[in-house]
Amino acid sequence: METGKKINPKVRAASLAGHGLQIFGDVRLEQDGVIRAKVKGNVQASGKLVVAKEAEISGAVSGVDIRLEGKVDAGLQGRGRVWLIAQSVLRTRCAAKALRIEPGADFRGELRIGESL
Amino acid sequence: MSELAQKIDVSCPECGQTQRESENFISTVCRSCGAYFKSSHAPMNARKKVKRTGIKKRELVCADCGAVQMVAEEAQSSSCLECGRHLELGHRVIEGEHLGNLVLEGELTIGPKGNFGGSKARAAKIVLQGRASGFLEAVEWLRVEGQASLRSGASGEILEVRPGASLESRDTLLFRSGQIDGELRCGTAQFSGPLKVGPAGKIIAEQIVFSELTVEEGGRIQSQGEVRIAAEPVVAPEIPETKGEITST
Repeated sequence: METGKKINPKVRAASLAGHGLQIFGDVRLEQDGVIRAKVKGNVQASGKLVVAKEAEISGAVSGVDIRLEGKVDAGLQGRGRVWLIAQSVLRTRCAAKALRIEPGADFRGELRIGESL
Repeated sequence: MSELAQKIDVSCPECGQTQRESENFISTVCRSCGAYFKSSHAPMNARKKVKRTGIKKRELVCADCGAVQMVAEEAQSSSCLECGRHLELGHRVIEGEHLGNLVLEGELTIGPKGNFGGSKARAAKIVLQGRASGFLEAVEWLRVEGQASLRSGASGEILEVRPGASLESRDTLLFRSGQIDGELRCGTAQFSGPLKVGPAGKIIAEQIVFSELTVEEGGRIQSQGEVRIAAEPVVAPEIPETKGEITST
């Protein structure tokens, strides 16, 4: 259930710095943002999204432009460009308009690139 | 009309007899005593220099034993200095049906109506416009320029599918890198290095394996994918870190 409750800016700063923070449930970002927390759920962003290297997301991630530095288990869908940085881990699926997977990134799954998303 | 050389008087160093010679003379014989003498006016380096240009050579690697030797650029064949194998260096164009294996150190072109029907063809460079029933090994590159098909797969250094071209392969493709600007349909394609799909490129495969992948906007892939070989990381374009808002459920 979505509460829609806005997080206090101080709390938000802590969550974006996010070492040790765990979120159980889905996360929605209304603007561009950075996820540093461990999320047991899906992450949905309306704009650009960075999944930082300390982030671990058990669900799926969607957004416009997505830069993956951390770990995503259940797939990633970008309506724009997607970057998988070295040391990032992505499983299950990757869908995007344009894609760059760097050497050292770990991806295994279905690739759907350039199709209408 | 060409200008005549001026005449000068020269004296024989043996008998002192004077005679007239061309001012450009280099050596002569005394008309009195028959002595041979050289002109004191002639420059010391008057001898015409014959410019010897070295034969341009290139490196040749034996397809069997890998021994390296240098051969003339224009050579059409050679023998390996190590194993004695005959090396055909020229180019070959297949316009019709070709049966039998081929080993070329040059370029092999399989034309739009050509079909390589041997079991294996090996060449430094292969241009594929038609069909190949046998396996193709391209030491440097395999370039697909037409509506091409492969029955037994291919391997090599670089796979290029040019814009407007298509390649359908029933067997595995094994290359070090790939540049796909046309259409590629295959079972499994493995690239131990980078794979690039251009804006007009399209890959439909059961599985593609690569160490890095770039798909430009407009390029398409439908496949299972896997990163298998790690290499040095490169810097990716930054997405600016901006303010975010989190709502939780």
